[in-house]
Amino acid sequence: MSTFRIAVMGCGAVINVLYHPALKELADEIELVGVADLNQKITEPFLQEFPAAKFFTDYRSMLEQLRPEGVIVALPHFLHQPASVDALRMGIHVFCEKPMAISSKECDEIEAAVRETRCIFCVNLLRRWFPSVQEIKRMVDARSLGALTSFEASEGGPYGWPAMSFSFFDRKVAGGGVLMDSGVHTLDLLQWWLGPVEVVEFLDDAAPTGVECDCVAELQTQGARGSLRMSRSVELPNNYRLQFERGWIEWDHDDATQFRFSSNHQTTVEANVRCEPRWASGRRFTFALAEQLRAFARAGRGGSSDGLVLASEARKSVDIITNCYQQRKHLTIAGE
Amino acid sequence: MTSSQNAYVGAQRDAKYAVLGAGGFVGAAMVERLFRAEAQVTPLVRRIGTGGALLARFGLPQRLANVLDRESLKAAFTGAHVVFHCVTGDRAAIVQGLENSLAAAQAVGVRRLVYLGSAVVYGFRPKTAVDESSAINPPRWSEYAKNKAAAEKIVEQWRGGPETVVLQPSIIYGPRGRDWSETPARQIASGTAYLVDQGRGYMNEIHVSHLLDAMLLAAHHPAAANKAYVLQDGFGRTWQDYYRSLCQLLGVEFATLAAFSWQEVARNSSKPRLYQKWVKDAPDVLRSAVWHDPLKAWLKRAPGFESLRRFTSAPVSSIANGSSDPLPAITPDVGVALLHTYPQPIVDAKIRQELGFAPRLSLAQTLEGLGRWYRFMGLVR
Repeated sequence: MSTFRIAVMGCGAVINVLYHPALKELADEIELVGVADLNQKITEPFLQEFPAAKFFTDYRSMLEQLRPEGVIVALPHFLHQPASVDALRMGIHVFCEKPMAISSKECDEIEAAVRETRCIFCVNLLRRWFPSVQEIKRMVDARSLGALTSFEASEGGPYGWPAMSFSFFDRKVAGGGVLMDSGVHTLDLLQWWLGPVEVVEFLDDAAPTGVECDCVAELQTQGARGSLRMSRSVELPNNYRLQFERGWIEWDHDDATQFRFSSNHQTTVEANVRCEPRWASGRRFTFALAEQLRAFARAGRGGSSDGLVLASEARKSVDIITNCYQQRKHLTIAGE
Repeated sequence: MTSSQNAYVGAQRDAKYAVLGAGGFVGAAMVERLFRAEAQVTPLVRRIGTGGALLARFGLPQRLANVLDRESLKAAFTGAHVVFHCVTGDRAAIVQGLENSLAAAQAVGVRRLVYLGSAVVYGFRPKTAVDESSAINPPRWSEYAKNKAAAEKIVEQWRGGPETVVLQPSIIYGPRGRDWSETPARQIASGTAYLVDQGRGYMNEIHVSHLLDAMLLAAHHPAAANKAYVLQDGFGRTWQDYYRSLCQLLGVEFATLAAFSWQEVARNSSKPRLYQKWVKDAPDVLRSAVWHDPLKAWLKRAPGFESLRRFTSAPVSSIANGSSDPLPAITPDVGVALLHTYPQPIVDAKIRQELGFAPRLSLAQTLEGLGRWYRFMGLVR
């Protein structure tokens, strides 16, 4: 079978950190044919690795000239929706970097384009591919620990993403702060594990013109209350705790193979999920992304889309974030 | 006069401020203060990072400025009336960076530059009470202290504008303060906190909000031009007081903290010469505290210290609860140990008299803010 022809829109930090190694690993299955970015200089290391790929400053020209089978949308958040819709309407399958879009309304527009074109649209929510996360999902679905009684999640640390510009800090461009950024992953997992999540209260530390650095949310699902804390300023515990009638589950974020649980509130079981050793390595993010891209190529050729986070599912975290921002209250953690 | 009644303590809406080092603890707090006062402020950061994420809360345009590049500073300072210089880093950033900042400010007509210095220039354990007239005497083993002293010399010799004001705080604490608020709390929470000589030394702390008040006074008060000021909250707190408060906030028994004597720290330090020098220079009463076992024995019997853990280079057990669970090994830092034994309060009468500086938050209010931050961090039990 021939390789799946793919192009990239936007060549920022996420391409260098994640997609570059993942596409290298998939070189026999996926062929990179084009890269579009306003800044040619930042694409140079990427293009050196994939010399057959052509460079464009305009993504529409790239899509028209190259007609790839699929496209990776890794543009600033505010462009996810228009770029994805443009590609879908040209009959090109879309693999979109998270978040799917920056509001529920934009997600509606993408979903409409998906229905209209019947193309594949999925979002990079790579934690769902971690063996530990999948095992927790199985445990929760089996209801072996009884009903959920409460939950708590925290994620954050001093901002360390190798951003190439201030665009992550611009409300119009990024659509929000820490919640719109890493919060997408957190909320996606909570709602995937636990079901529909409602926002009871949301507080953040942004002025109306800025984006939040720290935030706190009180959430509700299955009649159980829970909390979420996120930060770009200070190290948080970075774990999730799901409390059930007969036990609990605890997961340290980004641990792809291990978690802890108790089925009687007394003894703690350290669970090591049986899986390929690569999931325990530092390259687990690359593997998770490569698995998704492989599944995307398969689905783009008419195969199964199992495991991919499609539009109807990916939008759920954006819907929660939209609700959070709509009822935002001011949070004073450290200010005066 | 309280700070709130002092006309010079507020941000001035017709003034333009530039904050160099705006991504740091104090710099970011100053940008927040000025933003909330609706003043015109330009945050200047060295790189896109944590500080940038904090500043992004306000939606202000951030500018990259490198203190080692005079031309970039000139462009960044253009139009500013006041520059707050809150830069830290290596020797080049501290010393050359300040010289560049002054030269750039002069070139573009900045009226006043407020330099955030440090009381460390007077030594970690000065023999006599420190005020602005004390001799600059940074310990030879501390690069930071030597760099800050070299920077102060540049300000002292600077002529031809802008007006300069040097503020010399010692321990700056408050929410988002890493060195003196986050680190001790994490150490307490993880069982690795310690006090040296029972933390009887004066902390000489200043809450970041009070430091911002002082920086604004320094920026606006006519009497501040070309002067230097030491400053502190004036609560008279010792390190022991502070750690007791933090333990209360975190829900940790104070008695579980590890305890070291200065003698033990010095003996186990990689800086034996420092220890010898300190012993030679120390005031008699403190030297006796180090050398005389009877006094040490008396101190050990002091109320509240019976169950403190003792120093060991290997994991130790908690005497407090009698358990044999291994506890983390602790290697005390010599600089911290010196601070824990700081013998007297810094004398900051000059800034109080000349500029009307007066802390406006009570001790309880400063602790309440820390408690809120610790709860967010998930440190409170």
